[in-house]
Amino acid sequence: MLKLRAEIIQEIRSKTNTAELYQYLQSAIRLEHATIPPYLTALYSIKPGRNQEVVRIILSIVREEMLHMTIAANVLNAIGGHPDLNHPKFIPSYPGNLPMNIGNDLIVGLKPLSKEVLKNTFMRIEEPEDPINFPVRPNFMFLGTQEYATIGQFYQAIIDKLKELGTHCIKGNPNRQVVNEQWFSQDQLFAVTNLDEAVNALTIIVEQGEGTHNSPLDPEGAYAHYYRFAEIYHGRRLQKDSTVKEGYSYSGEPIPLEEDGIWQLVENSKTQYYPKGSRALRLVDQFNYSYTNLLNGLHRTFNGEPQYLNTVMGLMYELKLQAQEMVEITDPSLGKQVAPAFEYAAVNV
Amino acid sequence: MSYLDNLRLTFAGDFQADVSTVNNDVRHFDNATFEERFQNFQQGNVANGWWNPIGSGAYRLINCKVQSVHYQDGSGTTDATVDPAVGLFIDGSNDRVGGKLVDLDPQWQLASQIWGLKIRLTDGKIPHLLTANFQPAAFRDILFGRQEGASPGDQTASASFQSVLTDLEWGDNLHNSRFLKELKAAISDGLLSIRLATFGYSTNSTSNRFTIGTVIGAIAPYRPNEPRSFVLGRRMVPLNGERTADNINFFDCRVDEDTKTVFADFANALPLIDGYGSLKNINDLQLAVLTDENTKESGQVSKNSDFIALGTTIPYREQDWLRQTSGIWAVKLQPEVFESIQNKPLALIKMSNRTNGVVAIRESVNGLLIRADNFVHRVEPGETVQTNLFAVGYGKPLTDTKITAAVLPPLPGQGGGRPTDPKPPKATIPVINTPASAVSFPTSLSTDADGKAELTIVTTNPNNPRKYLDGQVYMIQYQLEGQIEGQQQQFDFIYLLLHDEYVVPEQPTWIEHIQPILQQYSNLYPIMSKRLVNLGDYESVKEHRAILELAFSLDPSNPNFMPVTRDLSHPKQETILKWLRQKTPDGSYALVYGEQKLSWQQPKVDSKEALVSAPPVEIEEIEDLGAKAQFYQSFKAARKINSDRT
Repeated sequence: MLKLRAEIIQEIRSKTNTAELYQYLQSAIRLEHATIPPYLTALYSIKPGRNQEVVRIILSIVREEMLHMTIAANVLNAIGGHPDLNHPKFIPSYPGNLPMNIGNDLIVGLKPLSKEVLKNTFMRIEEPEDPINFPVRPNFMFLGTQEYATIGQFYQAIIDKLKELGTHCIKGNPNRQVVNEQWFSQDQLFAVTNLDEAVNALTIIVEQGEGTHNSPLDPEGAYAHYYRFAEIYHGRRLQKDSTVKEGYSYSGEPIPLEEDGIWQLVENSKTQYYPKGSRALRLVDQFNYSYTNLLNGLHRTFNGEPQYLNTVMGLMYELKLQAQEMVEITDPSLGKQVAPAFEYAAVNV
Repeated sequence: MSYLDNLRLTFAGDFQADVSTVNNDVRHFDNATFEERFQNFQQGNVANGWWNPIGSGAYRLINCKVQSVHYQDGSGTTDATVDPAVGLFIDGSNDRVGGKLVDLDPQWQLASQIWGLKIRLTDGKIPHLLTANFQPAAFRDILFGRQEGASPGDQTASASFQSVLTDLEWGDNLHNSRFLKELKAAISDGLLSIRLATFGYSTNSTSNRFTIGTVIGAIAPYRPNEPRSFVLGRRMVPLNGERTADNINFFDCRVDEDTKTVFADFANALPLIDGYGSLKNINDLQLAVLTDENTKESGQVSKNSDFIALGTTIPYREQDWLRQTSGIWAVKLQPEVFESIQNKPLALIKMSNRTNGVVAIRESVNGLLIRADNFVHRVEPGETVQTNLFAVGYGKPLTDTKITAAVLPPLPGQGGGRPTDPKPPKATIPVINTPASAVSFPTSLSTDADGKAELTIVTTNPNNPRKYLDGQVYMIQYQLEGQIEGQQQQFDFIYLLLHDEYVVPEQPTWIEHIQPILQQYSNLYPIMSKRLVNLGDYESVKEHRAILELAFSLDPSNPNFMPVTRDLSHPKQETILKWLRQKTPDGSYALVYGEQKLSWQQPKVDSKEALVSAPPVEIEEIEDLGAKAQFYQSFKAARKINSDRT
């Protein structure tokens, strides 16, 4: 379970006005974003046409992280704050800690997909407050119980504070709310114009990520992120199983992770690793620029131009193409495939 | 007055044109004979999908920086401490995808247009100093073989894109730049003039600079009523209509009455010795005015008798001259010299010593210049399009002067591959410019008091003359009465892609209507079909319905617009949208499949096999011409056959 500095929860609890909550929702946006580059790197490491079930699972999670970012921005806008994504500090440095130092000892990096990454990074990021350790038949328990605050509790503290501050804390301009049925259904992404909607919106983030307390399912009936990653890790679908006391086990359809279907990417790729003037560097630079453009585009979307999300979608596709192009190139000095670096790039150089 | 103005900035850097090349062979548009290998890189002499089948169409400015600024008073600087505008970046958009570079048609690949390019003047921080949209524009004045000593092909070619910047948004902080303040104050019509010259483009997939080339640019105020895509001034013309003995291309000069200044633009003119802008030494070059208008190119001339020198010799051999100046040379003239250039041809003299030289290139006969401004049109049958023509003599409007216009005769063989390809595609190459009856316009018109004329072209349904490919390409030539042959750049035509008539069906279905259209795109753009959405596959299209609806419904100027080639007729686009948007009574998307006709079988691309096809590691060394050069060769051959007949 990810450790969260206890003071953060205390801090949130001690706040007395709405404006003091802005920084925590901004941190929430940063936190939700911070998971995206590692997940995308894993996704891009899968060779074309290979491990397609795994692709679908990771993609579904990435999409929800993007949704969570948007929800956090909606709530921040709803309480009168301004999401802030268009500057170098918004992107975490990989490998490194998650924003707010969540996870404490957890170092998150940009690595190709592997069981090691799934277990030691992705499942730890998404670990629920009280993970249900469904058996992998015959039996497997992979985590003991610990006693720390979780990302879920962080959101819960914000929810509690909003409730405490009351309805008047929702004072933002409703025109800044991002709602776009093309990409996210209205039951998941809706305008936050009152306290109930703010609470519901933040609850979606927690439940999609962690599931509910006694079930691996999120409110839409899909498995929470933790369990979806666990399916890949264990190589089997999680399914209902009346023969075990937990009610579910990883005993469904196999989800094979074929390792020869994964590119061995340069880990924690940085522009500085690649020779000046090389094609590898050009592709990494271009990806950085497009990724920065994506954040700039989201900044516009979250700051009064919600329809700009449609334009930003083009960048998501462009990024995918650029990543696919670079991972096919072997960097001769590093002996691995060129990988995106997710660094801030204000100009295309 | 265009970018050839005292008040201007110049910039230089790289550009990327990640064009897809499967569509370079028109025969690849035939779904019935399409082969899977057409999506692969060329191998040896087998062209397959040519040199970049995985191209995305992206057009990007990379590491472009302001090199110099010049002020209204004619002074200028290359020093950032003198003017902070020097050294700023000229970059593309920073919050959406980059621009696109797109041919008009596989059968006319020499008027490729830049779409959806944003231009940003920035120091890398937000807010920017200036943002604007580059109005879509096609290249002009392409010259193959400008770069000498390199293997022939696109690498050696050079061209110029002139356009205007629209939707200008200025930052509040102009960094106390005198230049930017002057520029902002000088704007009328809310537009700026911009010219990009591009060369040194690499089509070698094993090169670090694959799909990259060099760009040099200039930005200055746009003046009302001037053409947007060319300089209406004094046109320098190679005698043979293509290039001079020294490999000098057509170029433009402009005489400014107010400041008594002559501007010459060598950006796309002088021979190169590398892809970065180093110019070949062809001795001292002197801008001049000829005293005898009959003096010809290559003629021996002496200073002060045969020509009057305009300023000093041109310092084009200085290190980085082309990149720093963007090839623009300006000379302020004494009043008496200024008078002498009003009705006499300008010339570039290649000096042998201080007094004598030969004419390297001179202005057109009688200073005549006629050019069409908006010369590339995508047209629906029944639509009427207008093209603006501008005519001048020695830079002054030619009033009441006759212009003739005509469709070129039917032209076979355009847009095929190398004749040496041992495995050419099986489809036949359609003939273009036919039926001529589908386009009608006055064959003769007169210029008005401003030297302008508007050619109105009325169109009808060409009736699918190309069979497997929508519509038809038409080339319309125009000429000034009395203008001799070879005085116009050889691709100065008006181009139409005229679509076939198509009726939006009451009930579009996948099988009957959508798949045949999308399969062609799927074949031609493997990057799309293999990596994003397999457009030929119902399930894949269904899965990506939302993004497809968005992309097909945008304005063509939007860089996210689909199809990237902007070659889909409106009713076909409407049909696709109608199909994508139709809902069932329960509110879900219908995406009507329709009945499979047994007689008709779609050639299948084995996507699983194709998915893993990466660029071949070893490509046999062959002399690759590149797409544009290849196209040009077949154009020349067909034109020769035409002219031999007449």
